[in-house]
Amino acid sequence: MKVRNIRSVTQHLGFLILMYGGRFGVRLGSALPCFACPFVPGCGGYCYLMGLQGYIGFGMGALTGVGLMTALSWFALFVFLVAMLGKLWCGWICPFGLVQDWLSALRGKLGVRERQITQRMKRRMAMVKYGLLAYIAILPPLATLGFLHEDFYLPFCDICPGKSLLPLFAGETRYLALNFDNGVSLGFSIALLVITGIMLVGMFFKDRFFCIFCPLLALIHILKPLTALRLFKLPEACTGCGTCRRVCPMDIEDVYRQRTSPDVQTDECLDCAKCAESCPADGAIGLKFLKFKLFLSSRSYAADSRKKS
Amino acid sequence: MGCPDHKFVIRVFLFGRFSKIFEYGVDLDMRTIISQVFPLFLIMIFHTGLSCTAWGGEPDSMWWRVAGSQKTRDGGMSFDFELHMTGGHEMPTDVDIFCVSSVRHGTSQTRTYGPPDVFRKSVAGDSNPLLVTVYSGRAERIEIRAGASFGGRRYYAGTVVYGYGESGKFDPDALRVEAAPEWPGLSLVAGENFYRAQTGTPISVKCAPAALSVKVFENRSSAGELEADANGAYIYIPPHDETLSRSGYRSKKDIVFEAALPDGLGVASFYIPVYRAFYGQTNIWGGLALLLATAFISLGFVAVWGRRFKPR
Amino acid sequence: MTSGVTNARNERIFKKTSDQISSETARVLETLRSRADYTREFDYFLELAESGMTPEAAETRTGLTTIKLLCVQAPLELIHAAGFHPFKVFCGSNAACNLASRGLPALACPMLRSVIGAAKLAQSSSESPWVLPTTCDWVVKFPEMLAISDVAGEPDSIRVHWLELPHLKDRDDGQRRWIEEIYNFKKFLTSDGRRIKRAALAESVAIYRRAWQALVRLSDLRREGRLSSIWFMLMTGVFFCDSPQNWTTAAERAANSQMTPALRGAKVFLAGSPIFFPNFKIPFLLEEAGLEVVSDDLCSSERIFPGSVACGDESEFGLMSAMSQSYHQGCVCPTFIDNDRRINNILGRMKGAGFKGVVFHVLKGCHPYDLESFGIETKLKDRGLKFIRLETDYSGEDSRNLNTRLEAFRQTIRED
Repeated sequence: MKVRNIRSVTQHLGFLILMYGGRFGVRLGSALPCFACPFVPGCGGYCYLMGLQGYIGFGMGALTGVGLMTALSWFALFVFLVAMLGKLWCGWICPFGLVQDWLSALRGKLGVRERQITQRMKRRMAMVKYGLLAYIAILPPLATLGFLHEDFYLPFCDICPGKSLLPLFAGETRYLALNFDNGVSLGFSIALLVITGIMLVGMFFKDRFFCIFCPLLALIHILKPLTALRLFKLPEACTGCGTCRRVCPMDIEDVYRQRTSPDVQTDECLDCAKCAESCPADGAIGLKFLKFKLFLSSRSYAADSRKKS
Repeated sequence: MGCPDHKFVIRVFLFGRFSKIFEYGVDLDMRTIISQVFPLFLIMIFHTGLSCTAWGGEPDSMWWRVAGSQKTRDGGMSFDFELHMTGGHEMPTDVDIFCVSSVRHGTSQTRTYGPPDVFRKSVAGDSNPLLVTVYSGRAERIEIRAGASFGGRRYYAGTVVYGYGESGKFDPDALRVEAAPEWPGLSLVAGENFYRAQTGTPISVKCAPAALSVKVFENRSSAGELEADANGAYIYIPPHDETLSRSGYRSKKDIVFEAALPDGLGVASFYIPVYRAFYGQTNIWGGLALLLATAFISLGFVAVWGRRFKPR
Repeated sequence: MTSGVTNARNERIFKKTSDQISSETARVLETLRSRADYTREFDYFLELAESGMTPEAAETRTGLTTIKLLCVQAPLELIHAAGFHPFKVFCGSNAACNLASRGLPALACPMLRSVIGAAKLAQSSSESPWVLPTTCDWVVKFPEMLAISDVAGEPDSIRVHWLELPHLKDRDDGQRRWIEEIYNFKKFLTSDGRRIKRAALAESVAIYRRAWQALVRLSDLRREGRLSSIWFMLMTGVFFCDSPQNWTTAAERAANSQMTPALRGAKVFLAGSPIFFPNFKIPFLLEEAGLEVVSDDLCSSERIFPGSVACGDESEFGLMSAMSQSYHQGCVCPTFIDNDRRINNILGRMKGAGFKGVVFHVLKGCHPYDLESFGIETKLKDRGLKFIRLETDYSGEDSRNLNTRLEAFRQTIRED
């Protein structure tokens, strides 16, 4: 079985379990390192960002109590999940990632050109995700301590396009509405809809457009020293054909440019392994778990795995 | 609570708390001062008077109120319930209080650990309201009931909360009985958001045996009398409350249903806290229009900016 | 001397050269057919070689107008999608090489001399245009060389579309200019009003991808020692003589057949200047010396086309840019300035295949390969690998000398 088929299977399974699992009694907790949106009715697990906002926020009031212990145990679980699977969560499991891949596939079917973003521009855009992490860390405590309105307790969820789009797959449309409950909710609903509109267009014209801004990706990347799963490159096997850069949904250049170090796990990398799959150089790019090589590029594999017409 | 129409009102949604300053601002118009400050005076005067007279004049009643909940150090959580007596009564002794816990499992509600019911009795010297703390060690539905006789009548009060403690322990102070008595009274009918009742969403209660009349109170002021529908259910839709909406998601108001039971059985009440509407006041068409408008602008941006010839 | 005498003399020379070419071809074909590892599956490739490896023959076979190419940088998929047949012009005949020699610089590329000689003989009636990437100096001067050799009148009279190749392939601006070149090439191909639709482009990409898959299978068989290098080179050498679909079918059939190689020698990697039919001197000499080529990076063999046009974007622009990058960045031609990763291709192919040495073939006059061989030699020797440079031309005069050197080389490999 080809890597891309396995990936497709895990992505779709991930989608089904995380989006509908709750209806069948699946509850995977609140520390999932992917966009398993808690706003989807009947979802099978919760995105860690929600827990993070909640615990950062509520945890402030109960720093000495069990709130902190619960927060720490969820964080420990999150770290464990990231350490085990790294960014496979992004490239192989994340339901929102799959939705983006569907949009890309639609664009491909329609023959519409993928829009390019210059590397400079992309580097700037990528900083947004760290800004969002700071936003997540600062606003909920301010809301808890009374400096901000209480409705700031989930400030990222309130502007996350996952919240507006993913619940649609469970028939929930309320997050596409303007929310007149109060000024804060109206402000957030306007921001959410504007962001969703921009993201929808962005995701259609550019592979994994949202992932450029995803704070969860940034958070996983911060834990990189702990991750067992890594993308690596043997620079001495690279012929510089540029295929890796071309097939990369995130347009990462580092894999192509790297000439000395095996470490090509950049902050934007989703571990989708598309580069390794299509690399026609024997043993140039691979995916490993600790020291065990899970996949290594080869010309025969690259030739075989190309789509047949 | 309208704003003076000749004023320019700035709504700053980011700082909800400060928004009031911007919204009402300072207006030196004498008319406005009189129209706003004078009624305020009247309200203050009346309020102090009312607080004295209302309790005394009010008919007797017994009802629960959920005062709050906390997480405990061992991973569980505790709920503070207040049992209120109105009509100027002292808290009588021998109030029977039962706590019926059932763990939600899958889609069916099944009672689990036994003996299931926790029983308390009030003792002499208990204050009014009587404070009852209930511990929850797991995800469960906690129903608390009270029955008491005073002033020659029998009173029943009930309410339901959802606990989500994670310690797996039981309340160490609880007495256990085989089963709670099946008292007459009101019970909640499952519906949308019934575990977190919101303004603008119907709350439905049923009475067994059929009540003579059912009244509803919002924060202890009467909100009218309810008529039973074809199924015998009493449905009340708490109206949106601007004060509640403006405040945070944790603000709530107390809703109490009170049923006059037939055959001299007495009076039964059912308490439910109602939170501010969560997506209760939405406009989907406005939202979609905004979404599409943004998408079209972005599309235009892509069409103009994204056309530049640029290889990777 | 009158022109009549000259014509008669020329005719005599032409006749002689023609006979020589026929006999060169026949000799090689006969040798191939009599090999122990010959199977019927090779007949298709032998027939293609036998029936004339000219653009005209390819035109007859495919029914399409050809676009004549030198080098490997013009995207075949684009040409195919426009409804033309891409034909990489080559010739390995020593006789043709000699015919063209007069008037050309003494050290001119033997391959191009041979091509010019063959063109002179054929007195080509094909009006199909040339598409020339500006790779090495000889290719750049090719139209002038044709004019000097009386194949064409003035250099301007030859219909040439130049693809100006940015020699710095790793730089963004170079890549940008190359993609513009490819778009200009598309304009050139569609100058008669034809259109290249996205679907046609995607289909062409798929066709060449399938051909590449077959090529990789053959290459793997060679690496496993189940297909000898001679046959592999014949198969790749005739790639342009028929439609890619027919070639792929035949290659797949051959790959599926039971093949047993005749010779098992010490495994070596062949690098350097291209080797074209019928000049199989080097492969034969290697076999004689007990060296078995199990992989190579010749632009006439494993690198005959890049094949790996992989892209994440299936739109027209996506396909165009993927194509242009594959033929530019993916190419390890020594005419590139930043070609330092070429060594990785050699090392990568050698890894795990039991290679012990590299044979570097330099055609006299092929300066880029000649120059690059020194750097590669150093890098390989640093890694403890054996290296031999064979500088030769199309003539067979140095065969004995080369054979001696190769046998000595084999000894050094064996000693290890």
